[in-house]
Amino acid sequence: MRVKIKILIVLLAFSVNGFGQEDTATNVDQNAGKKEARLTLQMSANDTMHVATATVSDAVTRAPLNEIEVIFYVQRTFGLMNVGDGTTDTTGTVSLQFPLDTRPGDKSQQLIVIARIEDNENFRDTSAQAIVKSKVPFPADKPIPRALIGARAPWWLIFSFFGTVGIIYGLFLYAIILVYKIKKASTHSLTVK
Amino acid sequence: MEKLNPEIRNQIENELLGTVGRRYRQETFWVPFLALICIGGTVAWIIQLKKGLGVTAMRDYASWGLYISLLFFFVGVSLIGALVSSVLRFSGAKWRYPLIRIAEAVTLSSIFFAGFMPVLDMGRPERLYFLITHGRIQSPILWDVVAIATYFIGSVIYFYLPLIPDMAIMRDKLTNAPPLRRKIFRLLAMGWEGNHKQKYLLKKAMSVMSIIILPVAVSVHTISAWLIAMTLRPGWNTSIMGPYFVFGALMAGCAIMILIIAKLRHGYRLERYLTPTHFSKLALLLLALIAFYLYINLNKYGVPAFKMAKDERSLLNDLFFGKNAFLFWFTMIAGLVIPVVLLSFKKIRKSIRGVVIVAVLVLLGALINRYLIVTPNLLHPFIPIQHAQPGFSTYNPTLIEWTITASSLAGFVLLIILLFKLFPVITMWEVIEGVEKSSEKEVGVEKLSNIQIIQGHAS
Repeated sequence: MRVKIKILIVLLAFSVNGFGQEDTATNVDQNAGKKEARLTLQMSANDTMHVATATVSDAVTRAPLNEIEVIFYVQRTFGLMNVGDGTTDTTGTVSLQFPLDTRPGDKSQQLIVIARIEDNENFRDTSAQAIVKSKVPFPADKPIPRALIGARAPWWLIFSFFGTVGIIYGLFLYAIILVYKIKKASTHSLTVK
Repeated sequence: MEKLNPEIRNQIENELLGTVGRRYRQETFWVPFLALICIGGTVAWIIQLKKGLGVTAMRDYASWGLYISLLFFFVGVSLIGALVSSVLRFSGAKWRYPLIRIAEAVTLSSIFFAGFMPVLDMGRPERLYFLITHGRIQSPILWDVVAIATYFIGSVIYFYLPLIPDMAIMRDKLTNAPPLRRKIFRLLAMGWEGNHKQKYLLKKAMSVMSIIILPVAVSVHTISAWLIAMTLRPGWNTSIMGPYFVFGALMAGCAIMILIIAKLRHGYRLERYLTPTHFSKLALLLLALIAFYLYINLNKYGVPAFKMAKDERSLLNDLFFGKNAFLFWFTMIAGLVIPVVLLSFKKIRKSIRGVVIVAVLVLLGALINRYLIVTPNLLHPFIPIQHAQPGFSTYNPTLIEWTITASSLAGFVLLIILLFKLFPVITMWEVIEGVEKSSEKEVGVEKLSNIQIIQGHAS
């Protein structure tokens, strides 16, 4: 048991040192001396569009912050998709609309929307996220039509591949057999005297 | 023409055998020089293996750099074997006889290094094993590996077939060679006596290989083109890539062939067998290939340039006016337009020096062109890569990459030199047979009388 805990500690220590250390260091440097902002995100929708509303306020005084650029993303399988950006008004809010038929990022049908304040001169990088249940199915439920991308090769490709390679190597083998026949056609002995 | 006088035939064999094991001119400089570069490259590769691909300039954007550019170059050059052994064979060009072994040696050496380049590009080369155990048939990478391996095996067979009668000549004539060598000659000669049945079987085997090697050679380069054409990138996302690679390859192969026969002609004093006729014929072939390649280039770059679609604009601006503009215009003007103009003059085609200069320009252009096909396209993706660190969107090859690249080129030349240490430069029996069946003029060799024997193993 003690050994397992030690291994866990070592692995955790390794992960802290090995991953994200550079990012953290960079973030500390970039955010040094900047104030903290509070960012909240609310989702609503109209007939055709999702409406994301972000509100930015000062983390200490809670006063709304004007002229703060907020960038909106949607979580995808391998990263974030930028869906737009905007600047807060005097009430500290900014809204962005994006299509209602935006696909969810995974099989759980959840559309993860993220709002971020990035590289602001006065405030630290902050993000907030909201999860919306999407009505659009995740494409993994259906077979992907592009067969070559799929996990299994289609039969015609397997047949063509091995058929072509087989014919070529068959002819190579035939040429080698002919070489062997050349040797057989010799009347001299090949033994070294 | 009737059968050659046995005395002259004997003298031809002795003269051509004289190249085996003989030092050629300036060898004492070139071999150590090239070997030194290879040693430097090996050291650089060990450093790369120990420290990882971080020692190269390849990052998030340019994940392929000099190594893969050189892979495409080597695959391209390897097409010369198929051109000489197959295309010229079917076209009935008798002047190909003295060039066959040189072309096959170039093919063998280039396809060997072509197979080696992806290994150099891998941070963990031992994982190549997983391509065999977990390879996906849907992946063009697997097709490429299989095609290169198949072409290499085919080239070895094609290199060996015309060697059988020559091995018999070596077995019979080089009786003073060391015992191990004599044993190898005897084994490789396959009991060749030159009887009718053996001749029939050899010609049949060569015909089979001539037929099969051409589609294999074309497929190697087409699949290499598909590696990039099947990826969604500006400049790559075009159906012209296959023919673009194949004709670019034939052109580069023809240019390197001219340079190598010029070097061998001078180095081994083969002026009688590698004559201005061969240079002139190859120059004409090169002219046709450059003109066609220029036409394909016009389609590849001209059509998207006319539209300047948003996705392609950034790449095309980079090539036409940006950081890579000098290299791009050099390949177009010095590598294609000027050679076409120069080779249009009969006087230049008749001059060995003139043809060699043009071949140098074409080869330089082809080498740079391979880089331009690979890297600038990677630096201009359709969608910018997220969270890429500053400096990851540019590519400036490091000293390690330059050293490994230079050593691969040096190794390619060194392997050709090594092959000609072991085997005659010119296929003796085919030249003799060609002269007997047609004439010296058709084979392109000089009058085969008053032959002077040069000291070598044949002495």
